[in-house]
Parts: sequence; structure tokens; C-alpha cells
Amino acid sequence: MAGWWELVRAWFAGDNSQGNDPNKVPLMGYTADLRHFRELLGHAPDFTVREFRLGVSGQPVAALYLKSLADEARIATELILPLSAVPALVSSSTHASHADTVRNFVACGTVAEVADLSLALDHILLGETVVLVEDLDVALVVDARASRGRVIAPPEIETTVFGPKIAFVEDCEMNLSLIRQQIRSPDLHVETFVLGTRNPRRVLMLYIAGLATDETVDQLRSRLKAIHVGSLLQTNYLQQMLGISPWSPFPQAIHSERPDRVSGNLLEGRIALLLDGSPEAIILPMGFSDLFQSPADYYDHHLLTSLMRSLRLLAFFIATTLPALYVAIITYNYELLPTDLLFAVATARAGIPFPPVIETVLMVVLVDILQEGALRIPSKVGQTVGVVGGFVLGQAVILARLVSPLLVIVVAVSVISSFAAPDYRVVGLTRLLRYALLAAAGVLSGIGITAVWTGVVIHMASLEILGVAYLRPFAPLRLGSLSDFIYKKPYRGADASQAQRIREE
Amino acid sequence: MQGKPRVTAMQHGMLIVGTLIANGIFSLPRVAAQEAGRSAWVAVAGAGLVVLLVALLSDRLAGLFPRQDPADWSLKLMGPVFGRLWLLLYLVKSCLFVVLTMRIYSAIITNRMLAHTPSSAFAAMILVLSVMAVLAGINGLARFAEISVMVWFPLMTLLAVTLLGGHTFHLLPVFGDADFGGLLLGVKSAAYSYAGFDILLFSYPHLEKPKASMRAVLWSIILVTIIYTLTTVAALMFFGVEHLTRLLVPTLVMLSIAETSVIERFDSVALFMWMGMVVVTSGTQLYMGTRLIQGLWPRLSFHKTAVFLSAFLLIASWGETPLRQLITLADYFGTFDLTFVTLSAVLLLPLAYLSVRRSTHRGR
Repeated sequence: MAGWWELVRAWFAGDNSQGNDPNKVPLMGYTADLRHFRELLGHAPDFTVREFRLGVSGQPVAALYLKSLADEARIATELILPLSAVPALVSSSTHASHADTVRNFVACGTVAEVADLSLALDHILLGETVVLVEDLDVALVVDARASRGRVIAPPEIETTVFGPKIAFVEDCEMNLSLIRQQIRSPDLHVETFVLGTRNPRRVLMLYIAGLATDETVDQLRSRLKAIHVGSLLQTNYLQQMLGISPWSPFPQAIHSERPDRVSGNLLEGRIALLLDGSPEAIILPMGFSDLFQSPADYYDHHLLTSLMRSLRLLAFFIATTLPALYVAIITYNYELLPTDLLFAVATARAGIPFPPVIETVLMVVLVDILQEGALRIPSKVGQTVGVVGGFVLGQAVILARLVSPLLVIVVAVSVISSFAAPDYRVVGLTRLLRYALLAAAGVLSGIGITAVWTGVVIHMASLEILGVAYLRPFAPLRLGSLSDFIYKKPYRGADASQAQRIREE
Repeated sequence: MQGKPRVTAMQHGMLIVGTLIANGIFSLPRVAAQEAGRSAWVAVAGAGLVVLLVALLSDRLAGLFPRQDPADWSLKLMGPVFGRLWLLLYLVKSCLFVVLTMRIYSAIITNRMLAHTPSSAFAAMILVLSVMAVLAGINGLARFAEISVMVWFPLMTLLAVTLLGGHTFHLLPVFGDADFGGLLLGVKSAAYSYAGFDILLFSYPHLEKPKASMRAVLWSIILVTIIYTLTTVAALMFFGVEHLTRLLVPTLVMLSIAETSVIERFDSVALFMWMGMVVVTSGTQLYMGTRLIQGLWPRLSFHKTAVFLSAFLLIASWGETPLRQLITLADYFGTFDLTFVTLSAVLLLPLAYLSVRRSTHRGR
């Protein structure tokens, strides 16, 4: 009863503390705050507290930072030195203007105010410097972070012959500057989110106002705000935490290490996410067709691009389905093959003790193990293992009559085809589909293959990334967007119309 | 209806094409030729014309209730008793259609490909895929229909190959052995191949641009009629009436004759690719069935109802039925379907006009 009355009274009195964030810890005063931070971070060898006095007035001031993340030289010259030398005229002003004094005399970066100890702690952990001044009821946050990341290097995965030779680094400020170098527009909006309760990380959401739809931006913003996670280390986790369709094996966001690709996508009305500590950006929304587009496509002749995109799509189909087709045709649907070809296949298989499905699964598993092993082996030995695995083992299994030579060709073509897609995640996807199709072909012939593909297409048709259909521009069919799907038409400076099309989709 | 309507006019049309084309294309030339002889193709084209008229009436009916499907407006329009009765009859029709579609496909697969696998296994597979499509909602279903039709369509080029191998004298004289009654019987027997166009009543409320519906209905049914007529012409030219009437699935036999240096039997390829269309048909009918159940019991959840309905249909239709028997059943069903949809459109359209006028009057 008393609790109920308290609530009503608090509501009438305008006291909404009941609804406040329980994690919020208000500032308690200079000495208590310092003690609080020392208790929390005192164990960290890189946690530094620099105490000094504010100019002539001599009020105690403390600069708190992690020296592993902050630039100590800048803190000394741009923060401590100017504040220690505040002239008497300024320092003798009222207590309320201390914040202004600090803001005016600090020479580095931006100065923000926080009234919450937990928030101030987050800032320290992000590499910023928190300034506590006696008798001041807020803490000041000064951005004096050190850029200790690696230097900008050429892309390693998305390599192109032409185009910029720069890739993102682990510092998201630097990555933002790389994008800003490409898009010099005031419409480029950047929103900051801090995610992770135990290990806070900054996430930057970038979009171009007027090109990205409000609906998509709102949807992504609310998804980011809804993320409650202890730690967020990589963009892959971030993508999964967005909860678009976590059970789907299909990639649901473009991952790119190239600022030019991100910029191009922003200009098409998409949204990019940069995570501090990750050298790649996530681009949303994405569709199935994006898996087969390479940054190099935009630097090559459009006819060559169109040809290569068709080949990549064909390669995806070969990579997933060829071994299953082999099993289905050899086991059940031999009527599909012309008689001469059928005899050739039968001769090649003569003397193989296993049924086609077992033979194929054995070979596919062997190749997958080799592939996985080669990834872990140091690169200098890796090539040798590849040669031994590919040539020697392949030759040996044929000589031992465990598999037919035709199957070795089928599996080799299938595995090589899986690498034709520019997005590395397609390799994993083709593996999954290959096994599912193999199992279906072994049990239900070509009908099984069709059933799996039908299921896959239904699944893709049901997928929507931030309200955009995954199968666009095929379904819903937008003839205008097909000009940058398989066939790429010559560029005529039509980025605005491209963005318009994405908006319509 | 919830959410922003996002079905495009193209998808609306593809849903109709996808639903129609899976039914009976393999046996259509035979059933039409049995009744109308050499004039079978005229009967098929005539059936298309009748269906087009009924579809346009249905489209008008759907247009009177924008953003509502029959599950929403039937009780308001016909009252609680007749409305429920109509919904129930409609539900039975949709369920029968799902069962027939999947059973015919399964029986053909068992007959021509995998004789040792029970056809119920294939029926179960079709139902699982159909439920997946239904659970994707009307937007997912429409996208799937769009892709399926686009993938399936190139197969039609094979008809050209068979047309080249046929003899035109099999077609002549066009009205040689069928009187008007025979033609009408031919139209009636072709009805099953055109069953399912009433999906337009259910996809109309989800259209981005409802005004484009009529055009979509027009081109989709004309396209299906052209495909069916050409298939019948090709079968007549290839086999002649007498031989044609002895074949159970003449279109498949015809496709098995077309060959290239890489693929020898296109009938198998056709059967593989036909699965997508079968799933579209059973998916649309399952969607309709689920919505109709929701019309009867509005509190039921869409997803659970769809799953339970499909499980019920699978159990109810479990077992082996000979293909010939199924095709005969399909013939009866086609007549029932066309009659039901035609009567519904003809009788409900004036009622709907009156109802809309009355409510507009009240609004003023």
C-alpha cells in the first residue's frame, strides 16, 4: 500500500527516478569520484590519474585516462599545460563557469560533459580522457585518443587491379575519415552507438540523408538500440546481434574492407556500420545478387563485368549441385544422358566398390578436410600440402579404384567453382548446400535436388533484410535494377536513380 | 490485413500463372481431345476465354473490398449463416485442390521415375515445401511464384521442337469431328487445367497498385491460354487424335522425344522443374485454406493453422491412388471448381455492389 502511494506521490512530484537506468551512478564529488575510479581501474597498470591545479585559483583537477589508448603527449601539451596556466582573471570567476574555462582552454579535440560515473568510465575505456574538477558537478570528457593502429594498407581480400589501394584499419575514426575522403557531402550522417556493457565498443552508423529511406534507417537504429550484449568484438557478431534472420545460412550483410565500396553503397542508399576495432564495414540491406558482385566490377569494362557475373552465378550452381547431379544421374536418372555418354560414364565407374552416393560423399569430405587443414597450416607449408592432397591423394584414390576418375573431376570442378564468388562466405554456403543436395540426390534422385533447391528458393523468397527482399531485383522483378545485376550497363552517372530504385524496392 | 501492401502487379499475375500452369498441363491435350476430337485446341482456347471472363468478374469483386480478402468480407456480405456455409464450401474446394495437385504429381513421379518409393513420400515433401512457402506470407509466396514461373518458362521453348516434328493434317478439319456440344464438353474437361485463378481474390488486398490488377489478370490468363492451346496443338499435330486419346500424359511423352547432345530425355527435366509450379499451386491453395479457416474462426493464428491444415491434409490423403483414377477425379473437380467460382462471382458481385453503395450512402 505504502509502495503504491509512494509511486503516485513521486509521479505528482515529477520524480521519475523509478524509471531511470539502474546502472546510472551520479557523480559524488571530486574526492569520492577519484576514489571510485581508482577502485574500479586501480588494478590496471595503464590507468593513469594526473592531478594538477587549475591556473591561479589552484583548484584540484584530475585527468583520468588509459595510457595504452590515450595520447599522453597531447594530454600534457593540450590539456594539462593550458589548464595549469589559466590566468587569474579567468580563474577567479564563479564555480559555475569552471566547465566553460576548461572547455575554452583545452586545445585538443572536443569536450563533452557527463554527469554519470558509469558513462564516464565507458569513455575512459574507449580511450578518451575524463577531467574531474573540484566543485564541478559534471565530469568533462576530452577526446585525446592516440592512433596506435596499423598504417593504412592495401586490401587483402577485395583486391582489384584498378581503383584505390586502401583498406580499412581497426580505428573507426580513421575509417570514417577514409569514407569522408570519398563522400564530401553534408548529407552523410553519422550516428554513434556504444554497444557492450562489459566491453563497450563504438559503432558508427553511416547513411546519406535523402538517399537512404527513413524506414530502413529507423529500423536499423532501433535494432542497434535493442542490442544488449556484454561484449561485441567483431562485425560478424554485430551482424548476428542485429537479429535479422539468425538461422539463415545466407549472408545477410555485405562485409567490405574497401572504403570505395562502402562509399558506393552509401550513394546507392544503403547504410554502413563501422565497429571500433574491426577493419571492415557492414553494409545493409543486402540481397542475394550482392554475393556475386566484386568491387573490381566497377573498374572493368561493363561487358566483361557482365560476363564475369554470369560465370560466377554459374559457378555457384556448379559448386553446389554438380556432385549431387553426378549421384542422381549415375544412380537413378541415367535416362537423362545420351547413350554414348552413359557408356563412357559406366566404363569409368567399372570396378568401384561403393555406390555413387558413398563414393561422392567420401571424396567431398576428403576435399573439405584438405581445405580446412590447408587453412591452418603455415602458408609456406600450405602449398606443399595442397599439392600432396590434390595430386597425390587424387591419383592414389583413382589407382586404388576407390573412386572413379570422373568423380575426381566433378569434385575438383565443384570445389574450384565455389571460390569463384567474390564473397568468401559463399564458400561456406556452398559447402552446406552441397551436403544437403548430396543427401537429397542419394535418397530421392533429381527430385530430391529439385526439392532442396525449391526449399532454398522459398527460404530466400521469405528473407527480408530491413524490409528489402533478399531476392531483389529478380523477385520482385524490377527491370531497372537488373542493369546492375548480371548484365551491367555502362555507367552514366546515375547514382541518384540507382538509389531511387533501392528506395522503391 | 497488416503491414504495407507490397505484392507487385507482376507477382499478382505470376501467382495466377503459377497456380494454373501446374494443373493438368501434362494430361490436358488428352482430356480435351477425348471430348472435342480435332477441335480440342479450340475447346482449350474457349475454356481460357470463359475463365478470363470469370476472372475479370472476380477481380471486380475483389476491387469492391480493397485491403480485404474473402475471409474478411464474406460474413459481412452474406450474413453469418450463408457466409460461413460459403467459406466452408470454399475451404473444402481449396483442400481438395491441394490434395489433388500433390497426389497427381506424386503419382506421376512414382509411375515414371521412382517406382519403389511410395507416392505419399513425395506428397509429404510437396506439403512441407508448400507450408514453408505459406509461412513466408503472401509476399514470400508471390516472390517464389515469380521465380518459379521464370525458371519454368524456358521449358516452353521445347514445344517449338515438338511443333516442328508434328503434322498439320492432324489438325484438319478444325471442326471436323466435334459439334457444339462436343466443344462444350471439351471446355468442361479443360476446366481443371484452369483451376485456381481465384487466388487473385486473396492477393488483391496485398497489391501495391490495385489498379494494375485487371491488367495482370488479363495477361496472366491470356498467357496460360496461349501455352495450353499451343501444347494441345503440338500434341494433336504430333500424335493425332486417336493416338493422343490413348496416352495418359501426352505432354510428357512429347517432351521425352525432344533431345539434344547433352540431355536425352526432357520429360525428366520437365518433371523436376514442374515441382516449383506444384508447390506454387498447393502453396496458394493452402494459403487460401488457412485464410478461409481464419474467416470461420478469426482468433486462430495464421502460422499454426497453416501447419495443422497441411498435416491434416497429408494424413487424410495418405495412401496410394492410381494416376488414372486421380485424373478422373481432377476432371470432376475442375467442373466443380469452375462452377463454384463462376457462381460466386456472378451472385456475389451484385450483392457486393449493393453493400458498397449502402455503406457509401450511410457514410454520407
